[in-house]
Amino acid sequence: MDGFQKSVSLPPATDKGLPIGVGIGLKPEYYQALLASPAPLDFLEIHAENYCGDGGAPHYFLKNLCEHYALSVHGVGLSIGAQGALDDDHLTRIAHLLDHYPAARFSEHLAWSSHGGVCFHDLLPLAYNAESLAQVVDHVDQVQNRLRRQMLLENPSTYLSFATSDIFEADFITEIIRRSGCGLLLDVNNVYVSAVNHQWDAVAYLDALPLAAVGEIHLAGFFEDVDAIGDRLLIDAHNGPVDDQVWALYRQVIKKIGPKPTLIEWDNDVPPFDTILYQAVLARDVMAVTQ
Amino acid sequence: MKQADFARALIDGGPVLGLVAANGSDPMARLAVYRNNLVMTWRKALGDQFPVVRQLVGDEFFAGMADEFCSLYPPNHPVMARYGDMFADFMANFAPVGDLPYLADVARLEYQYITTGHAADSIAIDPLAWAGWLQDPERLGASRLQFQAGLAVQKSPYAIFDIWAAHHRDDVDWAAIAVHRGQSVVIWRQEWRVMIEAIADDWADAITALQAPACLGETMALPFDWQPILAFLLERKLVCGVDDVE
Repeated sequence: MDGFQKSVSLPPATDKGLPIGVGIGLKPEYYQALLASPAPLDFLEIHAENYCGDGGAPHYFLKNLCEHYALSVHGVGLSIGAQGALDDDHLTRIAHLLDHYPAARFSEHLAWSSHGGVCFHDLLPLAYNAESLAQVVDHVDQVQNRLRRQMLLENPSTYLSFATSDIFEADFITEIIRRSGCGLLLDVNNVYVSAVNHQWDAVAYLDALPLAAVGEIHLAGFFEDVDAIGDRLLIDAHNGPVDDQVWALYRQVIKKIGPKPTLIEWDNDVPPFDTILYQAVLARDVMAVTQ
Repeated sequence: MKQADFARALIDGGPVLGLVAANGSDPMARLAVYRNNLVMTWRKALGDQFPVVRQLVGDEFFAGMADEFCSLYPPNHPVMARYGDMFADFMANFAPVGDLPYLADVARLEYQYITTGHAADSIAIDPLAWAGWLQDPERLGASRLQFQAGLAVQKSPYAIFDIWAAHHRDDVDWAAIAVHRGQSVVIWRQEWRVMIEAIADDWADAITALQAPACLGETMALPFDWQPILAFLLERKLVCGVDDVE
């Protein structure tokens, strides 16, 4: 592993992290319900890009909600896994957002989402090798230095791999964390989805990750599809409840590292508020009984 | 693998070398998952931004039109709410909707609705401060009014307000809408709510004139009935200040 660019030293962390408890991804559909009466939630998570406008409803409601819940800011558009340079204007937008809200955490993905001026609005996969590792570490450094805080990097869900990949994903993530000092946003659904799609052993994958670096956990639902030869192909659709297999992995993780801030993501076919709340209650129950 | 090749394949559906599926299945079928996600995401984004246009042409037609637009003008901003600024112009020249000449203007109104919805919050001018300005007409005449950031007007040769409003009600009486009767609208914000009102065409001209760089004295020399127009703007708290022009 010689010859890699060495990560620059990290400024002191400015966040204390999320409260240990449960949260949900904030949707405009939930604004009124969340403000009407206190929900049994410890934090809310927003997609940073939905709060990059100057004013209006998103900021009106978010300001109010921040008085009752801790806030996690989750970026989906920084394209940290891109071969090209980071979008400096967008990084400035995120910095501006974090300056104006008491965010306990900022996280982003091990993925790329834009290239050549086109923004795909999807989390696209990258090859895992020495070259991409140095690039991702450099991008994480840039983000952490600009935002003056530690960020969490989320493990991806992917449907493909690359002939030029020669590092196992969990080892790749471990090395990014070691070099950049970022934390891990462990998406347990993504672990399961990628394990099925790439014929990995999900437990071995989890064992290979530096779980001590976990600052937050994501849980979500997937969509079940099949590939060209009829094998299971799981799509990270965030369109349903958390699968039993994912709950089982989550219990294993909690048993190993103890309770962690845990978020339910449900971004498509957004359900009634009580339905997503029930998923959060289930996560809280797992943390209460699994010690 | 260069991301440029992957990106190109996402847009044009062409082949990419160096992709692997662990079970030995055709990786292009797996690439198609990304491509499908992309098409659906972009389509949904446009459908969410332009719900009235979508209802006017139907979901199926809208999907095809959105795909055509997205391939010509893919999103170039990480903030999805910015997407679609070219959609109205695209539709104005899109032959298959030639028999719906009002569609582009409805799209302009819907895009302005989004823009106004995300515009900076503004605070109305303090009534005492405004009263003070009225005491000094000479200084006021040499100044410009500052308006709420989200304020916009739109004039159309079609009944854009009636068409828009009909799609935000359950009891639509299409027969009652005279599509070819031109309408003007003003779009603004009441706290976080976006408001749309039909106004007289000359009011739209007057508000546009007030937003232009000329000083107030010059603008108010234009032959509009200013008193009710200024009252309309002040009542809705759309005047936020006065810029002293030195």
